[in-house]
Amino acid sequence: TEALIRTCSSNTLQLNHIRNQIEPYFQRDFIRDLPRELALHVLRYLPAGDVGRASRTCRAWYETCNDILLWKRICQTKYIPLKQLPTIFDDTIDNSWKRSYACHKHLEYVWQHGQPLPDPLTLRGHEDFVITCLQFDGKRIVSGSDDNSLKIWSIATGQCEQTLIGHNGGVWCSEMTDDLIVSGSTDRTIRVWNINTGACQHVLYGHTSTVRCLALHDDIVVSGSRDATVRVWNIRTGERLHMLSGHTAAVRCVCYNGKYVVSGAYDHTIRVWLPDQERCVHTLEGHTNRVYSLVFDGKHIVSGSLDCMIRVWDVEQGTCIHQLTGHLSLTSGMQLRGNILVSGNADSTVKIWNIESGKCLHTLAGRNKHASAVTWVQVVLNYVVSSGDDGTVKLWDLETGDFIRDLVRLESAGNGGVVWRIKCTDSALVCAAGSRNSTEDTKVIMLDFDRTTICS
Amino acid sequence: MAGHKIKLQSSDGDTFDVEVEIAKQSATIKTMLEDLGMDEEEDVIPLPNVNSAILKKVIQWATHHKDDPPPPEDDENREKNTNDISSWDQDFLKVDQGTLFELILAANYLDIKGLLDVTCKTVANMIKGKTPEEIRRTFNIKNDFTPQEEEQIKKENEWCEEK
Repeated sequence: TEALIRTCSSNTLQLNHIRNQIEPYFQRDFIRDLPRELALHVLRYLPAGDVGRASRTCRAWYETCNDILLWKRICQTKYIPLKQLPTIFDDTIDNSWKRSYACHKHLEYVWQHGQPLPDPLTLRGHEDFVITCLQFDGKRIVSGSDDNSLKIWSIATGQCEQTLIGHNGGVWCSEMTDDLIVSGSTDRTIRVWNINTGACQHVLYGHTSTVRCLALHDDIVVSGSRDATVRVWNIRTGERLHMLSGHTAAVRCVCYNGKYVVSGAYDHTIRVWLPDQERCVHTLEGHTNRVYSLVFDGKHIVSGSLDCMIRVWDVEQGTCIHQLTGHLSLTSGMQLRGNILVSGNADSTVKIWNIESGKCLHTLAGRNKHASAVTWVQVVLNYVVSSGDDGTVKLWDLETGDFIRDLVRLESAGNGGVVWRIKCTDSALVCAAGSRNSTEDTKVIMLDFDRTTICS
Repeated sequence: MAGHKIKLQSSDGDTFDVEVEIAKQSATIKTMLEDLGMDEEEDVIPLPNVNSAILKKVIQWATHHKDDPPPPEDDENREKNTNDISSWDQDFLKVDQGTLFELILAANYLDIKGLLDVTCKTVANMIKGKTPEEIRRTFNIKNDFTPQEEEQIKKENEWCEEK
């Protein structure tokens, strides 16, 4: 071989020619020639963009690269659900999982880069009262207020469809199903409303003080109250099912997954209950101040307290797995996705944690951070959306923690304008906004990213 | 029994003496030994799907990896990483595409998960970050789409390029 090379090397053109002649003999078309199962094994190591580009090489690759299970798996690693029709890719992509991925990618692009931002749909109501709770299912928005009412807004018409009147005190919490709204009030009752007619179907009596928090699972609603009890009700029949007593101060937050009820209270503890047996199985002690926020994934309980700490607990063992330290104030809202926890805090930062390791991955701060307390956080697509007391809503990258842009900036931002709550779907952002000093009307603002057309 | 050896026979008739513990990284061979009671020293295990050159490579790989912990179960819901190939494996897999191809088939037939994963990852890395034309050049693929098909498929994958 060396002799051959020596002979030819005087002439690189010749050598190149030989190489070009020989090379194909060493090349193999892996994706076409391997058994399909092995070709897919190779493709499973590729990110979606590479699979998409690979499908453009030839027919055989196109066929294998469009495998439905391959795309299902890609979607699952990114927490992307199967997208229902219609979508903007209906005419171009047959593979339903690939289409879901493409929609997701497209929406990410629009949230991050879409210019200009969609025109906000502004829904004014509740006069100068505070909107305390917000629900949104993509079609309807339900706002609850300390003006004693709730309002149902239609996205299609941009109008208030119903005002739910009946509570004799401020509404502080709500839940929503396809056809019902459940609300809790300082008037000590829970009301169940028909979403279409606005009629009150049940008034649930029992609590002896303000109903501060609700958790819904199927037809069962769990309520936490300032009377230190947790109660369980059937929203279809209006039946009182169970009462869980044990807390010694107001119950501030509650979760329910169909098996366990988890409640956080001003007595500094969290309790885990089996509601059917009306039995408290664990009392989680460790926080040294009031517990304000909870998330629960069926395995982990994560609690936020006025002691500035976030704790991660194991629901079965009733033990504290991690204490997440770093925040300087009260955690107002949290969301869990897999092992990743996002927490919004009154210290004006948002933090991203890994609850398996107990490590803080990112602090969303820097020069674009909120100017005052973070009021709410939500994870949407690959982003964190956070709202603040400073009248802004901000978009951040969930993986890198980088600031992307302000989605909302109230006119009175910096002068008393506040965004109290946000609720997102993959394609829309809804905010409850107003002010502490009448510089801004109380209103609901929606940005619909689905209607944004992007120029490519 | 430490050092105990068996004989593996390639499709072209060569036999290789291999320590049992090394050979057992192949789930196929492990099953044969356990289920069929083939543990006598005289027994030869025929491997009709693997030629001598490839079998030699496989044994070399298995010898290097004999003390590795068993590979973890695949987590379907986790994104797969292709940047974790050890430098020894990278050198070992600096082979022509034909050999790599045969190694994948052999790893699959012999059911050696670690080798299958690392060879498939290597191919994935050859595809990663390339344009369709670059992929065609890498694997000597002929573009057999009609212009209309090509246009449609380009449309279908346009979202890949949105950054």
